[in-house]
Amino acid sequence: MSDPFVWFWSGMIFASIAWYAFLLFWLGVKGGYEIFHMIKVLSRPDAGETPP
Amino acid sequence: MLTSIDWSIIVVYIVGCTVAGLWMRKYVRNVDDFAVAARKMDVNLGVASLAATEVGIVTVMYTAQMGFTNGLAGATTGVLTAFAMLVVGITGFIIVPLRNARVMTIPELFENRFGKRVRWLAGLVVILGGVLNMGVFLRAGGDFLMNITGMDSRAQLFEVAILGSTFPVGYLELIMTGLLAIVLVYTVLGGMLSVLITDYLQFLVMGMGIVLTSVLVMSSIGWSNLISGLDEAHRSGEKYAAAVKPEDEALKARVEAVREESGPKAARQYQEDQGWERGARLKASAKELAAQRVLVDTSGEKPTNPANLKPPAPATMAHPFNPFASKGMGWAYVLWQAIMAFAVVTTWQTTVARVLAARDARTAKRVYRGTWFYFVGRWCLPGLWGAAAFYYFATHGGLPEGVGSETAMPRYLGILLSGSFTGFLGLMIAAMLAAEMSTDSGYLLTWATVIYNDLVGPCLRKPLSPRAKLLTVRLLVLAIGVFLVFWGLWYQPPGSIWEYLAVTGNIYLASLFALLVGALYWRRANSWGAVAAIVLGAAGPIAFLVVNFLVGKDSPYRLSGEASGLAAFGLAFAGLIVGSLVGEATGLARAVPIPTSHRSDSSKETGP
Repeated sequence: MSDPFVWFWSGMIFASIAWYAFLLFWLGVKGGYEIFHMIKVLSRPDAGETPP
Repeated sequence: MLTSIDWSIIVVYIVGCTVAGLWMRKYVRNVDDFAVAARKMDVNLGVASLAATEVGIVTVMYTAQMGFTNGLAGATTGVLTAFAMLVVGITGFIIVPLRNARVMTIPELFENRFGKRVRWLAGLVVILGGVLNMGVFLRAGGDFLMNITGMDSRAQLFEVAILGSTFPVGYLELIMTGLLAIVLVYTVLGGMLSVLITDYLQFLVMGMGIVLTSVLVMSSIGWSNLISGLDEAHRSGEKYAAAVKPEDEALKARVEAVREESGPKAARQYQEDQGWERGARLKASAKELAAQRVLVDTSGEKPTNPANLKPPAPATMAHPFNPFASKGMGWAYVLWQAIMAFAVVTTWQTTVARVLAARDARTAKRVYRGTWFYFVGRWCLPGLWGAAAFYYFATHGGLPEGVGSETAMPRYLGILLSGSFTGFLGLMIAAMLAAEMSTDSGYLLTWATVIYNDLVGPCLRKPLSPRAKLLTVRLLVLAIGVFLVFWGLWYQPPGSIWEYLAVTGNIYLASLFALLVGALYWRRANSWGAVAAIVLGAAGPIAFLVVNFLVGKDSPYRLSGEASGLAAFGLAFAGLIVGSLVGEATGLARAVPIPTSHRSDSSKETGP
């Protein structure tokens, strides 16, 4: 089909699947690391105090 | 239908999530830890949490419904939202000054500029719009689970009597109450910290389910088959509409004749009888119509809510690619959705909660830049499933009995996934449970924080102790949960999911968006303008509800969603400007200058 909208939506859908698959791996690793870091910070006795 | 492997996947997911959520409770020491995770959230966790919260089963249901009725063009709102997210992520529009203000909720910001009353009024609008909006989540989630597993949502197991009222309980009510109870336990105990951890797990499970299902849908139908099939369905639908137009016009003329002769009540009855007669004919010829790519929606014949009773009706495919030419959409719709997209990404409290929990303004912007394209998939992928459901049923003899545009997608996925690899259906159900749980937890926490911070807090003469504050917020989360069980499962509003969500959401979005822009960027905005913006912004959606209720279903005087939506934004901004100018002229309005820390100043962005 030569309809530009078809090309547009096809691009969006294929890119979405690829992006979701990439995010799964990327955030799986990076997000996991950040959770460990956040828990480490929260485990400190002064963690609840936020700067003004 | 579910195998032992499917069940194992579901049970492992639920137990894992609950344990992780409960584990975080030991780090909660005060309201700051509970409501905004002590502002320790970093970029990637923020992206995962925001993405998980913004995709619930209800999202999947209405985006798939748009795909079923408008094909791929139904995902236009997703593209507009992604664009708005990217622009805000690059410019920091609203979110940078909001994060720099170090507030816990949006109404808290208004107190500094417009006074306590405006904060309280804004809090009330946020709660009304937000909690009512959430009211539809449980039922929509339950409908999805019932249809994908093939369970009967109308089957009644027993009745519960509370305060003299009886509540019928079926599988749907039982499962969704149990699910909400799990979410409540970890949200009440761990607050935002539990929400972040469980959102992360839920993001992984949900993402896996969405990607695998989309690939399976595309490979089972074939991309070029789907595109040509949708195009053919649209053309056939137009032919069908042209063929029945004379019959529709003749019926209209007969209804008018009855109205003139016997009054409006008789005309309504006549029209209803004719509708059921025609519905019976449609149902009898459903197979022949499916061969012409026209489906027959019978979901209204036996609805769970008698107010939604309607005869079988034809379901045709609008223009599946061009949103400006697609039925029910068009230029005004796209414009409304574009404005709403900017309002949603800057104003919707559950989205903004991630901005407020971010380590700094720079992190908040990075979260937006990291999430923007996710919003395209949030609409496009469930929309693809909905469009594929239309294609599948049109090529397989029509919709099953009792299935309509809302439930076609889960029914289709149930058929497709149970016929694929073992465990696939279990993964998809776990993915959708993840979507539901992450949305519920995020929303429960957000609305409880707003109630405490902006409605209860300002009314207290003496501030509560940190312990009492924490207990109050926890009790509020619990109270909203209990309210939702009854409102969401036993009360059902008439109309479609999207209409309900759009109207309840618009009550909040138009007012608060205008107010936020005024508070942060317009020096002359004052308390009079703020009150006028809140009242007039809510007037548009409420007028939509009242007028459409009064004029009836088929009246030419019905207000369209886009007209009322655009009017709401226009009225809110007009109220802000005119109210502020009048307030300034009288000298009675409260007008505090914009604090320098609230301004959109990149030098305020701290962090690495």
